Amino acid sequence: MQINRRDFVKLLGGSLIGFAAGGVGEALLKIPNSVKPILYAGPRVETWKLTTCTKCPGGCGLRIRMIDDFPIQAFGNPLSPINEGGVCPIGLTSIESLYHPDRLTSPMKKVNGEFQKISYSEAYGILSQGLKQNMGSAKDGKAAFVAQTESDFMANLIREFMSGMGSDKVEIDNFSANSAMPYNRITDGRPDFINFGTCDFILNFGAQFTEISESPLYFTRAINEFKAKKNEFITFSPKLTPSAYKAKRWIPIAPEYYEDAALGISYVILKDETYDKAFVQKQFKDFDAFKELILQDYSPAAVESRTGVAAEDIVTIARKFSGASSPVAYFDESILYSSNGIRNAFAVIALNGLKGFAGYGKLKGQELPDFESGKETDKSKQAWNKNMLLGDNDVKLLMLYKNNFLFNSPNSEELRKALAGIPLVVSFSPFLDETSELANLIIPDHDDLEKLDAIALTVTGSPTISTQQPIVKPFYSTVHTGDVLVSLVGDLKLSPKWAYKNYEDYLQTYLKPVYNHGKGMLMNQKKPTELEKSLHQAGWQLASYSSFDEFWEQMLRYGGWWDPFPKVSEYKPTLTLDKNNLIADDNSGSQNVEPKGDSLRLNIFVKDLDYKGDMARNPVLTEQFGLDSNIYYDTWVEINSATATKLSISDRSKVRIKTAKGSFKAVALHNPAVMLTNIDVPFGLGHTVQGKTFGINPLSYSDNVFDEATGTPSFSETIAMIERAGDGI
Amino acid sequence: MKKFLILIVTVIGFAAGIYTMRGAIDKHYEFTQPIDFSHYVHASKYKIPCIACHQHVLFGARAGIPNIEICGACHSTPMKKTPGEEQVFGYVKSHKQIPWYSIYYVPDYVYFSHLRHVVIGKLDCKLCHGDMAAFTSPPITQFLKIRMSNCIDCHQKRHASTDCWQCHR
Amino acid sequence: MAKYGMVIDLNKCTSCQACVTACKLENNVQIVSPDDASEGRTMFWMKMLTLKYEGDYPNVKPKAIPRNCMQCDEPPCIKVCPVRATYKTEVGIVAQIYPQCIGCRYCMANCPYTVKVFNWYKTEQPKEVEKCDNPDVSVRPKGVVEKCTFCVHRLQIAEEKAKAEHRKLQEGDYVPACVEVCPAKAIYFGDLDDTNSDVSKASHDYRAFGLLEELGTIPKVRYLNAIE
Repeated sequence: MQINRRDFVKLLGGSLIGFAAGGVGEALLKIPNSVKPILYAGPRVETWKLTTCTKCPGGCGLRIRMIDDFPIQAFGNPLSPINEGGVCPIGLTSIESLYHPDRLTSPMKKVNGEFQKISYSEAYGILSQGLKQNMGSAKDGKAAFVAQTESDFMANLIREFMSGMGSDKVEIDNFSANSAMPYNRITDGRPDFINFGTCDFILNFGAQFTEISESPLYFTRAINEFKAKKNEFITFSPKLTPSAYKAKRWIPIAPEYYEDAALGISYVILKDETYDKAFVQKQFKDFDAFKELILQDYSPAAVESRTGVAAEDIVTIARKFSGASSPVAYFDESILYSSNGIRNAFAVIALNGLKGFAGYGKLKGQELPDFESGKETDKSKQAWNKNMLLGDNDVKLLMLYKNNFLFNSPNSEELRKALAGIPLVVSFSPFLDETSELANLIIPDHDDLEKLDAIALTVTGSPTISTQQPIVKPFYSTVHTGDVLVSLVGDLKLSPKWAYKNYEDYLQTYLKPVYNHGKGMLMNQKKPTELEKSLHQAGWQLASYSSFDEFWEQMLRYGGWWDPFPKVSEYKPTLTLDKNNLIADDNSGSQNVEPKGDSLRLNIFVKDLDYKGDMARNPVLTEQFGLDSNIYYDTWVEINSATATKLSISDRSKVRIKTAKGSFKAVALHNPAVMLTNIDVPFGLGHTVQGKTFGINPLSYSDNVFDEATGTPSFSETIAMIERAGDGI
Repeated sequence: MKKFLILIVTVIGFAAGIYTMRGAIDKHYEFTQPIDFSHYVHASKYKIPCIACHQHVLFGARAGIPNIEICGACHSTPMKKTPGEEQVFGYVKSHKQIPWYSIYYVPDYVYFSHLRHVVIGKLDCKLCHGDMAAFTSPPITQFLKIRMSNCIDCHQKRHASTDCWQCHR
Repeated sequence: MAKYGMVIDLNKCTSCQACVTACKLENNVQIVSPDDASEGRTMFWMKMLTLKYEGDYPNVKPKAIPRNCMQCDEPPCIKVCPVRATYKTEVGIVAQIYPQCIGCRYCMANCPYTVKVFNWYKTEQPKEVEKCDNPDVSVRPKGVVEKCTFCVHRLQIAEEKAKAEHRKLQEGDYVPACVEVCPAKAIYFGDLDDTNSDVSKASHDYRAFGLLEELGTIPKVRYLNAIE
């Protein structure tokens, strides 16, 4: 081989290029951008702080991992009696909202349709001015408040604030309050907990125990233990959710028919005369009328013809229910998501009444703060709800706290118009969402890791108060909404004897009785043993504090207080059911949505990752949303394989779903567990404001059907047609 | 054939480039530290042990550059009037951290733990950091270059594990 | 030497996906863009699989299992790695050494459980997720294969702590993130060779089975069937 001059130059050039690339290349490799910050990084000291997750009513203890005083990870608090170290996906990702780039960093007011940053004092001025103008008596009701909070303390503060404002237009979306509400209407208070110690049969009407319930983590453990004792657990629900397939049997049923199923079971029990006669005589008011009504209309055959649940199933379940020593028929907030929601709940309560509420327990003596005002509201027949904003021209000031009802209500268009007619809309939301976007004034709340709050619950059978302490100082100029309300009540003299300085003060007043009675312990020790229990009964105290300040400081540090040895009693309420509670008035909104021909029922289901539809701003959960169906960042529709074959829809093909409100495209997914008359669409995608827009919001395609008594939207009473979409997608 | 030759030469050139530029890259890491800190005065003259200031040596992965609270513990009142000390006062008074450059660092895929080397392995700091007590000015470059070959040499010499997962993650 | 293994009790599992989230956050696994996700390039080290639906409507039971790397005793993936980037460590964990990996993806092809994922792009993590990156685990560069490591960084730290305190590693000192967070306590983890450990007892339970055991991979992640 000969190398001429030209080749030599080429070689030289090649080697030079290689040389340069090698040198520079390594230089580029040496300091990648991700390493640069490490050059300035701190000592990387790991510390842990305890707090409580307030993203759902569960009140799980969290253990926050902090590196150089910045929270980076959340785990469960092993000493919390609620979750005992476990934690759900929402709790795990609860830190991310702290660093979210879309957080509102300061109060804002809307000027010519654009938000402008203003100082807190200015925002406070505008709000208190607006409140002054709209104070009044209950009759005019110029101010309204729509909130969503799982903290009873916060809910109570909002109610006190609004009663000072002279308005009863308050809706507080609170899972445990919503679940208790039907009980509060027809009995003298709800049961505090399912007594898993004795309970041997659970009939579950639509509750998603392990996913979305009053305490998913507690129920996960409790249900597992319950099943390990070879007890039976049967779920009625329109979809095979994890809580349904963890049950011994799943009875597919449309949510409007929970009522019929429960009363059908009552029928069998009444016919068999296996009900608790002593209880019924003493505490079931008007039992004979109830019996007559049931025997007339709810024979298993009649129920089968209406609901499609086989008569034999009803009879077997009824016999099992009456044969059990302490059975429980359970429901929670989810039962309200249908046009006859409240009647569904009443029917289930009546069914429980036949066995004298044997599986439930009640705490004896009040060891927790009592929130009477909430119960009072529940008792009134026509409690106010946000749907009453429609056509209400009295409301001049609307306050919003975290309730994104323009996303999670089917009548969002109408509500949007109603909001536009209100002169002053104030939002306390920490993020811009569909609803707070329409506000004239936003005073953003702190992030959960920056604020102080508490959750009180009794669902485990032990009274528990889980406290949320500020893990970090507020990053931005946000303000705790509790502080705003407390100082507003003081400044506007809304309450005659208001001595609270801030929300902490408000909380402390409620927790002083807990300190004063001296019972219980902080979450700084393991669950007491039997020996410790007997010591305790002999007068030994578990307390590690000597003054209220010490108690308060330790309570925040350890994440809460609980009483491991509460005094409990059987739950034996007085039950006042009349005919109107169970039979619809003719003019009520309930409609017959039995699908005919090729039409199907559009059933919207809620997944545990998306409690209350605010998942979209959480990228980890959003990605994981479609994990089990393997469809990411898109809406899917689950259809029974048999139905799909009939309609010649193949698995994972694009389909178009038509409802009265319009049509949308989705990916069809064959699933042998979907009800034959249903198509199931997940709720949670399709935000237009927060996060990035993926998929569609099925609620904006469903009919405006509500439970008239509570204003809760129905999630499964829309008729839809499904067809193959063209190839052009 | 010629094309192949060019390729080979380019590759050789690339390797040579990497080799020759090594020194230059290390030089790139010579930083000017914000304060003219003397380890000699602290460690030799006043016999302060390393761990008094580098407090995390015994407990975690990183030794830690002392924060301003540690400096302020002694330098709350003036001792000697040096320009360096004046600067420290400035930082102590305003509660600001001194923007030291960390000379020693490992990439994120390597787990290097001081606890493991100093407490369990009982190694002397000097082995990697040199006799810092003799330096009158702050370090501006690594004493023992942080390279995997240096790690492996020492691990083999002392029969420490050379299993990849022990250090890589 | 310990031999770490895992047993997942499907009777307790409620498919809540906490293990999936915990894994994602603990190991800084990338969140891919929607376009990549639609091409099947999502990255999950721990994944919930619905294998099949058993029974006829309405008595249907989905067989949903959380699936991570099986940490096989006879791993098929290590046999094809040309650069020994993946190998079996003395504690039985199949390691994946990222700086060594050349991204040939042979191991991915040879894994019968398809647990390995490839970094196709260097995607921008959302800011709020990036801030919460776990400093104990490196962020993998583009072009390397990654998989579940049984959170081996936790073992590194736990071992070191135990040694510094002059004691042996005890059961519970080292658990992966998925085990720690499981709300149902459905995942047992520990030393399979220690006959007293919960995990070794559970792995010999009559309900225990391994995925695709017939291939002879001897998976160290085993499952307990649900009780019907």
